Amino acid sequence: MLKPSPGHGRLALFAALVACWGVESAHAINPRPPFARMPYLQFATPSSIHVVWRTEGQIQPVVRWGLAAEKLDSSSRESIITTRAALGVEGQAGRSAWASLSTPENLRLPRLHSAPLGTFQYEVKLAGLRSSTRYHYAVYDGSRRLTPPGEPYTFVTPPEIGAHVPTRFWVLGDSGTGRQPQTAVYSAMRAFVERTGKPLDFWLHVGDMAYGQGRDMEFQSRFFEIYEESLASSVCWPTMGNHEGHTSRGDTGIGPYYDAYVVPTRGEAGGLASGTEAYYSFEHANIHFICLDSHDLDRKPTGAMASWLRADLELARADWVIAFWHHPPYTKGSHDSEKEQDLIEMRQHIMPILESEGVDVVLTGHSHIYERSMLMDGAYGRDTVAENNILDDGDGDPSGDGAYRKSEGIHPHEGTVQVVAGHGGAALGRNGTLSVFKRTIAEHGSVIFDVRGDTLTATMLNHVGQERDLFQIVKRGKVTPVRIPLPWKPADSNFIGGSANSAAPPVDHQVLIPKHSEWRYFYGSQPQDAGWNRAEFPMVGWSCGTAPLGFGHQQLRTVLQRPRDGRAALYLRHEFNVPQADRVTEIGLLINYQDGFIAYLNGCEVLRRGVGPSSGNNLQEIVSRPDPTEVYLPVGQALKHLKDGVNLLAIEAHSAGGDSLDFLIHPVLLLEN
Amino acid sequence: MERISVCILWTMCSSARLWCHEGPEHEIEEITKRLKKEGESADSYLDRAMEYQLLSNHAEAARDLERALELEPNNAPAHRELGRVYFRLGKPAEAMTVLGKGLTLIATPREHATLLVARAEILLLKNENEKALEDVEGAITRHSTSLEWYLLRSRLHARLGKTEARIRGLEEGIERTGSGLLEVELADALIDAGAYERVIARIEKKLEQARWRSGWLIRRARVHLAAGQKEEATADLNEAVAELSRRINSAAPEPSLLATRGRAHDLLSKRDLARSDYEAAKSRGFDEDWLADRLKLFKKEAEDAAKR
Repeated sequence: MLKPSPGHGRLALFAALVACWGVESAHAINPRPPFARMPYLQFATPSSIHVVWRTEGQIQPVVRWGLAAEKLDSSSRESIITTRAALGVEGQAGRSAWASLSTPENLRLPRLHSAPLGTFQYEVKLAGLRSSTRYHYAVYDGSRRLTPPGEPYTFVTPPEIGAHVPTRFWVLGDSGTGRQPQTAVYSAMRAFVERTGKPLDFWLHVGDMAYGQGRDMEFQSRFFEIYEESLASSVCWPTMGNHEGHTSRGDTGIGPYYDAYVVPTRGEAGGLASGTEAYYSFEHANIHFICLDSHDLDRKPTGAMASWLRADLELARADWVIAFWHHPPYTKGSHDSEKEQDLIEMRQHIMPILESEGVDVVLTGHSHIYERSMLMDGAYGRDTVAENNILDDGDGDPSGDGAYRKSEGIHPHEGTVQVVAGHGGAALGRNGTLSVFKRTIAEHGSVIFDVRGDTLTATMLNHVGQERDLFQIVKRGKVTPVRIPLPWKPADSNFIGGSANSAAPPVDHQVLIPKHSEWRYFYGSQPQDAGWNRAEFPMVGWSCGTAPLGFGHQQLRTVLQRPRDGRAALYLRHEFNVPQADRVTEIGLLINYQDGFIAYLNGCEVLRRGVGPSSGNNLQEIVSRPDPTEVYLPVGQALKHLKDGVNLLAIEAHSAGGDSLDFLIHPVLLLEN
Repeated sequence: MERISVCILWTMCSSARLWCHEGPEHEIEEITKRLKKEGESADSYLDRAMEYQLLSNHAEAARDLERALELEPNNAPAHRELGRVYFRLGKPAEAMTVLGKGLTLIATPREHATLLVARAEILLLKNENEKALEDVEGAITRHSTSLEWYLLRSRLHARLGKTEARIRGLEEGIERTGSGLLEVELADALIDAGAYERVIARIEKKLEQARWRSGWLIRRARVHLAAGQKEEATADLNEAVAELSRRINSAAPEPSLLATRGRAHDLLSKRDLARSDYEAAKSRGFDEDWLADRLKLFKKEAEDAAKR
């Protein structure tokens, strides 16, 4: 039945191009013929699951399954198979090998949005399964087995809805670059799962799984091929990110994103029927999950999505409620929830509904960072304030300040933990720190959730497998929430230009400009030429000095004279070499400073801390930093200015003046390959 | 073949630029660079316009969309977005023109339908309900699985007093999409149409299932009131008010809960409490027709009382 594959030569070239593209894509194994997309699992309930795959050309699709790999004694019936095809419009196949497939019957099949011509997608529902049971399965073309017998095509069905069964799920966001950090994050999760001996029950992807535009081929190489093994044994429940939104639309449910996933629209997995694949709910054991489309649907409180959400939550009777979507209501990572309209609307319109219905955790991505809040409720304003909106300002760690406590069951306004997990692979970025966050970590990684009865535990794993954050929520007895008027605040959360709160440097970093390096500097006034921060600038009258530079501190290696008004400005330059700029995944400054600075890479501003708008003599404000400590600040924006060979880091450092007697700058430049 | 390879490489390279995206300002910078380096394209202008909209910079968005349409007059998303942007800029006539032109140029059923809905949304805001209804009907005929469009049609039917058409339309939507929200809307449509016998069983079933019951208690109270069962209605409404008050965070209330509690007060003839909740809900973005109608009525009553 399998038709010849006229595009094999083309596919081979495509594979070669992918391999040569310098994206460390050796892991991306093309699907093994005759598959165009290897089998993966979707949309599971306690009694059913969907197996989905693609072939180049048409086959006679059959899935056989059973309780043992060697005894696949059940078989799918045609009535529960959905077939989609990419055959173009009538006549488009022309004289190609696919012309014979363009039969009137095939042309009536639901169309794949933009898959290569001749692609067939099969979605087979395996029904009549037992809950919490391991099954093995195989895909056939008629009687010919397509999945190799030796490979582990197996899954465990979800437990009965409401059952108190330990559940583990993986949360991942903004992963789909095809680059090394993506695979490192995936490997770290798999190692953790193996080490802890509890496999994933399923996973949630919070969007941006196929950069840059969610095209069909981007889904294939940056999602399906990378996560092939996990996709074959556990269901990934998705939400659409803005990058998928370039080619897929929520209001019509059409595009590569909607081709890739099968999700419940009629309440088949619990929850209220959404009537659309753009948003939906499902239940697993004692947890109610809600997926929303934050990208391209009406987010207003009277919009269809908000109205459905309210009606869905009015029915929910699970012990836990977890919501996920792409655009974070709270972030200062590579995005800013106080400036961007879609993020503001999710906070102002959607969060009040969720919190008045008792949501426990909100999972998002979009911002390329890991951020995690304290237990909070009611922070819906244009600016996010912690005062009176924090119910527990501890770290939620049972070995630290203790787990967050809520009443048993679902109750309004007892507190939510916000988790931004946009650190799954894309270049990291940070604009500051919101005062509601307990943790801000600019490292690649993902989050593992374990729900065991009345206790939920979340562990943030970075890309090398370190457990970088852990919090717990315990729902037991009756808890009366108390709003904290002046909660704990992250250090420097009020700094102009963002926080100086420390993130950890990448574990496997290289040092480009070491501590105590010698810098060229200009001190006392502003350099006359505005191009002082560019490579070609002639450094007439510039001095040499070893860092740290400044005045008033003991550890200085270059002591400068304090001006009468104390308001000093120091201009620094240092060159460094990068052999291959496109291999750099993160660049950051490990820096001690007082009071503020602006950093430039090859003449472009990449970071500022402690200073207001403008620069040089026109700088409008400098905020005092009385107790300087060394911090690591990832510079996501710098990557785009980095070039092969010699690069220039320039810094202008400023002191606040006035009563301040001290001034200090000591930069160290790090990178991660 | 070479063209295909070049195309694939170009696609990959252009995608790579988007990985480091850091907010709309950064995206705008990147797209501007792309326009300078690679020349103009409708898609680039459309992308940049979407970023400007995220920053509520509608004037710049309009300029980009206009240029996109100069370059590619058949670009359906550009027509749709420009229509919406013009309307936000207070240019309804221009909005209608650009959408009308798009509708003459774009024949693909799905794209044509999205343009019709964009125009219907503007007509609805202009209170041109018959024309808006015509557009939504046209859209549903072309693409029948978008539940938002069924809701929009129901709202228009309600405005025009077409009660039976509203019920039939919602039933059609439920059959096509299976949406639970359309079922809630159908219950309201049946009550509005006085079809109490058809709706009461649905209400009782939902009251058994729901964790939060206030919305359904209010619906049952409306049925009781229509049947002259004032005592039963009062009991339901008092229960609804008590439950809603537990759910409302008084420092930062959820507007639909305020509106719902306002409706319960209203049905209990506690007009001041109702008005207070309605006004608070409206100020927080709750803009449903029934609430606006009630506030108008209260205002008129107050004015009449003042005259007396």
